[in-house]
Amino acid sequence: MDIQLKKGLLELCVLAVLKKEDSYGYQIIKDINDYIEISESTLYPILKRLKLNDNLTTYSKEYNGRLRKYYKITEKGKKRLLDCQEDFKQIKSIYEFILGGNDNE
Amino acid sequence: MNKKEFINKLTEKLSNLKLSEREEAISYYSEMIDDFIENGKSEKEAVKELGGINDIVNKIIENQESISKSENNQKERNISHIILLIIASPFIFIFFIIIMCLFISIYSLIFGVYCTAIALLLANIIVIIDLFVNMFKNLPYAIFEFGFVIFSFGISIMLILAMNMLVKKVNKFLLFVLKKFTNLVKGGEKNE
Repeated sequence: MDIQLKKGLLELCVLAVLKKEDSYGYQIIKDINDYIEISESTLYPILKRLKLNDNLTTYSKEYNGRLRKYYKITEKGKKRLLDCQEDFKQIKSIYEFILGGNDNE
Repeated sequence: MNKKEFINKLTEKLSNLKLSEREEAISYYSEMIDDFIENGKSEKEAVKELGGINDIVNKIIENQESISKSENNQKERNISHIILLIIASPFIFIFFIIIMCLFISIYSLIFGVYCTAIALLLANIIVIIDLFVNMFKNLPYAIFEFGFVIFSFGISIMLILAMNMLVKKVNKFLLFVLKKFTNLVKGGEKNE
């Protein structure tokens, strides 16, 4: 898959996971990996970017005698997921156009 | 490679980053290793799962660069705009004066027409007085004066109404030009 496209989709996947409940790195990867391949080193910049754009916040919680970093979706992040529904309609019609163009040739 | 070796290597390779950035990355990866171990992996397996350390470092640095680049771009753009503005300021000032002169001359013309219309109205008053005097002495001349009064009265009212409309239009245009001009001076803001 195209790298830029994948990056964008992964950001949305992370937000979708966090919309259900707050989560941490290992768990996020486990949840997403069924749908789209993601490695630990790929997730890190994505989480950073989401935080930079105020799509999520972080907090630390003790677990098993160590601190674990949890990620929590913000209102802005939730809004982005909602906007994505509109985008999906557009993207679908664009893809239909692209693939339709291939058929004609 | 066990966890300690991995963390040491990562710390070393990220030494160019800010301390807070480096610590954030290290705690992310150390947490990840702990989670792998808790889910049944050995320490070495866990480190192996994370992939090559060079790939990890590259992704962190790449992302950091793209973030700071976009921040710098914005700063640079603002600075270059200010410099441009200072260099261009005499021209902008002259340009502004030219525009203002144009508007002043348009307003003066309108003012002139107003004066003409008012003078015509005042003249009508005198003609009307004369008309009453002449009514009994020289009727045809009085009738001529009556026609003249109606005619010039109409003309002056028409001029005043027309000028009122024109002033409104020119005012609107002046506001429009001033707005455009301030946008031009403010510049870049719209593009960002």
